[in-house]
Amino acid sequence: MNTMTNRNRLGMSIFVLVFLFGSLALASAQAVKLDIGLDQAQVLAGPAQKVYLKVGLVGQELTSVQRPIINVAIVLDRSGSMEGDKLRRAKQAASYAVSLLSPRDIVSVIVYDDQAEVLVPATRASNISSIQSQIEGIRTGGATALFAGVSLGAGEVRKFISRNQVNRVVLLSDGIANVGPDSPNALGDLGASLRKEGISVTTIGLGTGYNEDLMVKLAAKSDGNHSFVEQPSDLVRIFDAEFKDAMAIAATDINIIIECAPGVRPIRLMNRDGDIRDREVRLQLNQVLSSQEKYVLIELEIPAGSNGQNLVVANARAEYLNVSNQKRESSSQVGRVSFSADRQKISSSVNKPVKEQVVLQLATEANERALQLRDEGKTDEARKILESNVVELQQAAAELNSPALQDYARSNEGAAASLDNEDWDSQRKTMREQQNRNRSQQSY
Amino acid sequence: MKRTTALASLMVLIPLVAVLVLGVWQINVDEGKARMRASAILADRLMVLEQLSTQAQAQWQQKLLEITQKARANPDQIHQQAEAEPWVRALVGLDPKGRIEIPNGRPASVKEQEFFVRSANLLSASWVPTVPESGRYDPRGGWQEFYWHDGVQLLYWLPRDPLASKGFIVLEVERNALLADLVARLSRAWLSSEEQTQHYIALYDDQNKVFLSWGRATFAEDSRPIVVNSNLSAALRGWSFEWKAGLEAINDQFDPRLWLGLGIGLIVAVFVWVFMLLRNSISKQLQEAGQRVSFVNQVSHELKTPLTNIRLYAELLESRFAKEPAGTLVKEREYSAIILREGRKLSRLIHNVLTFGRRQKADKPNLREGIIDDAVRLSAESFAASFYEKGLDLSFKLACPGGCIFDADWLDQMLGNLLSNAEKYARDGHSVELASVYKDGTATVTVSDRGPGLPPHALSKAFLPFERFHTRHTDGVGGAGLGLAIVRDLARAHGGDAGYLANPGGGARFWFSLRADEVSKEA
Repeated sequence: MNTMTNRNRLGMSIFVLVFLFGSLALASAQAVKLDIGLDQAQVLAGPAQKVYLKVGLVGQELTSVQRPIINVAIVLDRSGSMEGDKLRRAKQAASYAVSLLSPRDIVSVIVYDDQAEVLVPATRASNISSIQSQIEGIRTGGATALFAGVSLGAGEVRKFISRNQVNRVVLLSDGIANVGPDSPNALGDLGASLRKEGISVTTIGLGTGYNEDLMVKLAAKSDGNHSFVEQPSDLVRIFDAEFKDAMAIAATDINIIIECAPGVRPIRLMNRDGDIRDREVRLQLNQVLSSQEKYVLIELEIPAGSNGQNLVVANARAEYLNVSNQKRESSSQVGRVSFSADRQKISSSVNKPVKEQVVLQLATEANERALQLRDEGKTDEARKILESNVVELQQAAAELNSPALQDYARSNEGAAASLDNEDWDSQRKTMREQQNRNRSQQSY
Repeated sequence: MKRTTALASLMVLIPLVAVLVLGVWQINVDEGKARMRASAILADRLMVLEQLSTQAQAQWQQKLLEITQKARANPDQIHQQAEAEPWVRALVGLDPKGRIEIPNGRPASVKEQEFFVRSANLLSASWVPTVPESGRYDPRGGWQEFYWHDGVQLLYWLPRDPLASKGFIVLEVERNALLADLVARLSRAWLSSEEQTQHYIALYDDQNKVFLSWGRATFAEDSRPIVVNSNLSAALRGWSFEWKAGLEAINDQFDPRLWLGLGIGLIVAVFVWVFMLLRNSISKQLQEAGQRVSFVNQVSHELKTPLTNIRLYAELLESRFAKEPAGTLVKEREYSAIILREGRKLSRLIHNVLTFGRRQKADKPNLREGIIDDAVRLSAESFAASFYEKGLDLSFKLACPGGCIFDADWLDQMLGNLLSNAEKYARDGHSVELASVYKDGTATVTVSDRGPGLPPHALSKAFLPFERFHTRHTDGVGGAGLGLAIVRDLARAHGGDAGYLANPGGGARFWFSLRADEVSKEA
């Protein structure tokens, strides 16, 4: 207590009161449940220290209510390299995906090679066979105008855009974008802009010829999904997962505001893009799925505390659109920590699920660094990082009894072994896909 | 027949060659014109794309202006706005000196700091938009580019007041979002499906890289496609459109080759048609003429014997009258003279017809020794009475040597035909002159009258069979149109020719010549 100034103390009291009141007022059944927690409930009393705060959002299970309308643009690569099995499977997968839609849904189909073209303009999915026959007619052409393809896909989605719906562009590509803006940053910027409009871009990389950095960035910045599909025969499965993912959405247009208590300093967001100003952390998600958690981890510095002291670390608030009743709702919750001098108590206070996520995110960051080193030709350094990643993951997996961490340890082990292999292209894509999945809690 | 075919071929060939030559010349002239016209057409079509781009930019500017005005109205919300606006990455205020303003003293957010790093070259150098010459800023604001990492970044700025004495609001624009918007706006079928393979339209970015394109035409090095360009400005400074198409691919344009082909085809068709028509009509005419001749020939043969008898008995009658005393039987004498004269005329006509009927058989003259001038005089004598009756004065100017080898019958027939023509057509001239000259073995006999002469249009046809001319002098005068033709045929068969000259003093001058070797004086 001594370490806290009087001003801080007053601020803290108001802060707690306001948010307790807020929480009570919103205690009814909500589409999104907040789950806020630190990686451990108790921390060592003493000087300022770093902790990890997790804010999780779990979509409530959808009841008999109708699922939201899906407004989707399927953007297919028909460049020369898609010739043969790839295009055949892609058409098959797209046709299948269209068959999953109901007549209320909206679908459009865009194809691109050197030039992008709207094959099926945005339309209600009531005449599925006509859409499918148009998909069947797609033939391969030339180069890869990916930017134009995504732009047109977004343009079609925009025609019927509504925050009450799932607005999505599903992009399939097997090649390097070579017409129009073609850098991961450019496509990432476009993705970020589309996310603000409520449009997510799901990117499906087919084969080993595409640019995974671009495809992952586009998906991540737009809050979409990403998959690496090495075998064309897996496309139907992925389209199935993607469309089921879209159908399981419980809330859209989610604004998360995490207000840290006075004296608490947010250092960085670990796994998602957001902004920090002073004590406030803000980020936006396009959607939360039913019965599935999406979370953000924030590295914080908490002020010094004395044994026995309780600290409200932060209040998290999520504002969103409930798709089942199409109303704007918000949930909020407070995260706390207590200071203790008892190391035993501290170590038994570990919040295992949060700890597991922290370990996973740290390992993901290490994995990204390794990939970058490998890109720079520093294969040995990359290997070292991956190997130590394996050790740490295995150790944590044992402590936390976590199969997920065990799995990721094996992935890192595999990656370390194939840094020099011929199938590095494929390995790199797997790594990027896994990193993105870890960060975004992709449903499939 | 041969001559007609040759003529018809010429009729087809000459215009054809003319059309070709003209066509090739026209292609060169027209290609230049067509290229200009095609360029104009493409430029018009390209203007639509250009206008759409300009429109897009105007709407971007309008939208950004609204965002900026909202930010001015609620300076506290300025941060959240950047977070929510799809086209905006960051939003800051600049004081008149270009220093970044921090609203309410709240520290910059992480994203804002990132923006400051990106734009450090510009903003940390206290950048402010260039003051326009008028000293007043455009109330709609303006664009400013800067570079960061792998690309051009874009700012939109708005002065808070016309003189910017309160500074500016500056937006970092999500340029790629604007470009995506541009794609969606420009994406339309600018080319029909046929044009897809003949046209190529590209929008080049400021690095001269293709940003968007339409059509799939490619052009060989040596081909000369029509190319039109247009440059964009403002937020798309350095960008340009290019529209390329082969000349033949541009709608509505005149393809000289096509037209030349069509023209030649048409002309050939017309000439073939005319030729067929002509050939049919000529052969029909010839056939008819042949039938006419053969009919007249047969009739003439039948007439020949009775006529000879009539003439014989008329001559016998005349010789009886000669034995009677003068002054008696005046009427009878006159009547028999008429019978004899008309009989002779009729004989000549029949002779003409028979000669014409035979002429294809390449007759040869029956050459005998004689005196040409005597033969001329003898022929003329038989016309003396009728000339006298019609008031025609016949004079002679004969200069042929005595003793030549020629066909006297032919000469008689030829001269008879000419004199008969003079009798028929030149009676108003009152005088006819008969002349003969001899030179280098050829005798030329000329019949000159003072009549109306031949009309100019008749000159070329006068010696063709069955040609007769209608003028006030010929109307009501009989004839088959064979006389001159026979004169020329016989003259040519006799190693000479026949022709017509206008008489210097007015009237006609017909002549014929014949080869007539002189009998050696020793013989």
